[in-house]
Amino acid sequence: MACYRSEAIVLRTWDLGEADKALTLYTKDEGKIRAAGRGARRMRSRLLAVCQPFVHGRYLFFRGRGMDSLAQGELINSYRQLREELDRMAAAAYLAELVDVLVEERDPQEELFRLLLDSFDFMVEHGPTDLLLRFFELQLMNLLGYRPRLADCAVCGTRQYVDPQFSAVKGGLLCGSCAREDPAALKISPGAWESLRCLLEGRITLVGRLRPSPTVASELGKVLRQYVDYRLARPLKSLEFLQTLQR
Amino acid sequence: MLYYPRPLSRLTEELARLPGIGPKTSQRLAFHIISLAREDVHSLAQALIEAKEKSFYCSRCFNITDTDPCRICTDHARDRSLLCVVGDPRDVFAMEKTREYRGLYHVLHGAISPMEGIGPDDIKLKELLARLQQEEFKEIILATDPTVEGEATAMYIARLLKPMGYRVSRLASGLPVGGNLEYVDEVTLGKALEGRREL
Repeated sequence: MACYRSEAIVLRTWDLGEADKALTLYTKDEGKIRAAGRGARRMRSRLLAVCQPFVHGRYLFFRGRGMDSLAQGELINSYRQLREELDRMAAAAYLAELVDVLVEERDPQEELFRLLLDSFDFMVEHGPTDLLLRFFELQLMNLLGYRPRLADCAVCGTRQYVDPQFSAVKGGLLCGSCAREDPAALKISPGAWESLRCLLEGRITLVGRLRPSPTVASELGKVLRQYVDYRLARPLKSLEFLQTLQR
Repeated sequence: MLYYPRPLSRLTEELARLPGIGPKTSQRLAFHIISLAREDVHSLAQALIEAKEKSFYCSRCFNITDTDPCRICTDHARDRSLLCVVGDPRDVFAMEKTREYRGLYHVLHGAISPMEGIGPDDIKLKELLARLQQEEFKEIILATDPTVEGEATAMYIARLLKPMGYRVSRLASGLPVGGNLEYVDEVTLGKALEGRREL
């Protein structure tokens, strides 16, 4: 039976049958995969600890016709802080669901693997800040090939504009005269525009240093929500819970 | 099921719909049932119907019961200042088997799951909050499963109840009795170390 090893992050788990668990993992070498952990819900199972959401581990899989099966696993980082604090858990579930929903299976991207780990590390250390979620959304869209055009107008290409707007449909900024192309486009202030550019070009360390005003933070939230939602086939389940906690 | 008489194949099919029972087991059970004495089969059928028709949820604690309020809720020998919050009626029976707990229960019938979109409104949490208005508890013990969903539920409830002045506690996590330390996973061992107590 063909088997393979890979480092992986558990994105989501759900119950399968009497004592099994199904998992979606983002593996470093194979990209997103689904696997079954046989007996992983039994208290004495060796797979119990490595089948928890957000765990980073080294795994051995057997290839299957439908779903692969998880043969062994060894913890690298349990990220238990993400499961033991409500706000962190809700945010981690949101990031994991974004990857689960938007990423195709078996399309490995090491940068995406790194982005997940860096974001989890950031959350463990600094908590789940709104800016981290915005950084993740933007970086994920970029890695998936949906990099927003922020330097010039996404329709006419001009760099000269007054009252720019952000359009999810057109994939970036629109100048004042092209704004009518998308009635749903959102007004964007110079501060929010600059923050978007910084988040797109910068590294995760920037997230700890950038201090947007509450107005800019709310603008970033709306713009990126629209941008991400445009690519989603269904609403995210974890988003509602995250919003419940934020209220 | 061409080889079996119609009633037998129907019984096999019905049994196979039960959780944990595959085609082989259902066939074995069906053959066993028809080999039983008539009165034994009647008694089994009667038990099935009675269990379904006479069981419902207690209007206070939402445990499965045949009287309302249930026997635990009306037992005056129990400590009425303690409330143990569990996810499932089966957890009440598990707790009762310990013979260590003498307080009351509240069954949530589910757990908050951010990943599955199960929110606080989808479990019996409003009912818990309403109950806290009517009864006086000193301590609320959160005995939800030590899974992500169970932890999320416990943390969410603790966040609501702590500002109301309750003592809120969580079941401890740690080593299984009779197990070997070397086989325990890192997370459990870490939690056991964190929750160690002085001898």
